[in-house]
Amino acid sequence: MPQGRPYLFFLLPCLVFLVGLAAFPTAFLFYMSFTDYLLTRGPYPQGFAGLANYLWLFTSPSEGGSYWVYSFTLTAEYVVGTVAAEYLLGLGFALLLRSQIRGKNVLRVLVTIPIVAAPVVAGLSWRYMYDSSIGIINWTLRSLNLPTRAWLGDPALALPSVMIASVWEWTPFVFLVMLAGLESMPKDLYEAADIDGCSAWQKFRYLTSPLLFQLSVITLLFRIMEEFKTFDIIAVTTLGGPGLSTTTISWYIYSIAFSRFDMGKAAAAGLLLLAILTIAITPLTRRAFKR
Amino acid sequence: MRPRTWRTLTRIIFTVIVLFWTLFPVYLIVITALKTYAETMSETPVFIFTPTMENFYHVLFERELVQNILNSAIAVVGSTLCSLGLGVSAAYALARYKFRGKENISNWILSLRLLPPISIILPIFVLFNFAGLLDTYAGLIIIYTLFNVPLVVWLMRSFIEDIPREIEESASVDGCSPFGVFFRITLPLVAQGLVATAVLCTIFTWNEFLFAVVITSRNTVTVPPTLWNLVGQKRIYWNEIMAGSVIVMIPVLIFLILVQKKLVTGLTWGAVKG
Repeated sequence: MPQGRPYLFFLLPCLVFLVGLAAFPTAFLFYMSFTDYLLTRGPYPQGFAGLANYLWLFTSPSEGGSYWVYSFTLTAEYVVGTVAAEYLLGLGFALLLRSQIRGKNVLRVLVTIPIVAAPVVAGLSWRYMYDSSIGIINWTLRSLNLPTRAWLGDPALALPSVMIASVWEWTPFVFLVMLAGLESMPKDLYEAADIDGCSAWQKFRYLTSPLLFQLSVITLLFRIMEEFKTFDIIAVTTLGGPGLSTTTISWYIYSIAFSRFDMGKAAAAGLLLLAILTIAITPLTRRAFKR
Repeated sequence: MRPRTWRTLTRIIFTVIVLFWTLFPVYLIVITALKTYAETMSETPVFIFTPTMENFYHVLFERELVQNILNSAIAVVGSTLCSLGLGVSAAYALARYKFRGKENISNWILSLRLLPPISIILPIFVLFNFAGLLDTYAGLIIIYTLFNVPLVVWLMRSFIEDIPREIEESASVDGCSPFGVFFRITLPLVAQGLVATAVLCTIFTWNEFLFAVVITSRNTVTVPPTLWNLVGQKRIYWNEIMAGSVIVMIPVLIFLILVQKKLVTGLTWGAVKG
């Protein structure tokens, strides 16, 4: 172990950059959230607003307030739904393909392909399939004499439809991580279990699942954080609509800032989101990345 | 049939379903990119048609996607180099030196990437506006360096910790300076990890959407917002959009195949060894 201070030379440039471009902007976000700041009136904050922006977040929309709580709840539903589906499907794919004897590597690459698509591309592809007149999904339903639906145009269906697109894109992430975990498991344990006459279920329950636990914590942490940020897929499919039925929190804050140009309120909404997620994930991160 | 045959049969059926689910949308992107406008608008999907390469030409040169690809390439190369420069040395300090607050610094860096980008882009938009960095290459490179540095630090720290410390120590005993050890011993030993990290930075920057939408407007628009603009038109030319999508996907596909061995480690920030 080298002694002394040379570590500062290695570390400082990076820290200076991150403090300048992440810590300082976060402090500036804090300041912005207490100001009247309409970009349409000028590039600088127009005055001190006190807690008005924060109060606005929690005033109900019918009284001229915001949809912050609504879109946060909607995002939470979105996250729970997509992550649960991605996890179960990804784990299922991994268990299925693990026991494949021939062509395993080719299958692995093929199943991973959705990750290759940028979220924007994934969203576009699904939007084309969901199209109510030229989409392949409605064509299939018509051919089977089943009723067709406006998948992205119906407020009740839009959110699940968008979620499916996201699940399609990110299931391979869970699949890859789980497969890597399964393959790194010691084979002799399973051989010993076979000799002792364990059933497939017993092997899964007592060998596979405990070993998969730590892996699952990490995978879920990554997916929850990523799905919470969902923006791209919403932008290319529904623009938060119809109505507000797919307005996730990122899309909501974006539209306060860049459609209404109300930087003060957007900053309050963004800071609150930042605070909640920081409190929620810090313990998880500690656990997942323990060294 | 005997139970074993049944089991094989179910497995094959499920594998086919899985492949259909993952590959059909991709297949649709590719064939739509080869269709004419009329064929894409047909209510009955056209599966048999004469493929045309015209969409690629059209989207690249008449819609000038080639300029956006160039913008993306500048953002990718600039930010990947900057994030490696800043991140690898920080990773070395975190992996090899002992000092107070090390794990806190490390966790703070990680949190920068896990936390919502929409929150951080608001003040950055305002500050870039003051500094005249909106819609510039410098602005793009700065924002993507910020985006990628945490990944570089975490991944490279895990790769560096994987090399036995004794090699560096013996070089140090032989009179090599700390910087000599870093450049001549450590870096060559983690070359493979360095390449994998660079590839992941490239992919993330290439696909990134939100930052690009916020800070670019005319001159430096990257590829993902351009595809978004194409569906914002009154008439949606799906054939051209899908041609553009194919162009976006090909480099990522090649890169992913190149780093396949380190992919799981990379995607989980070193938390899972693939």
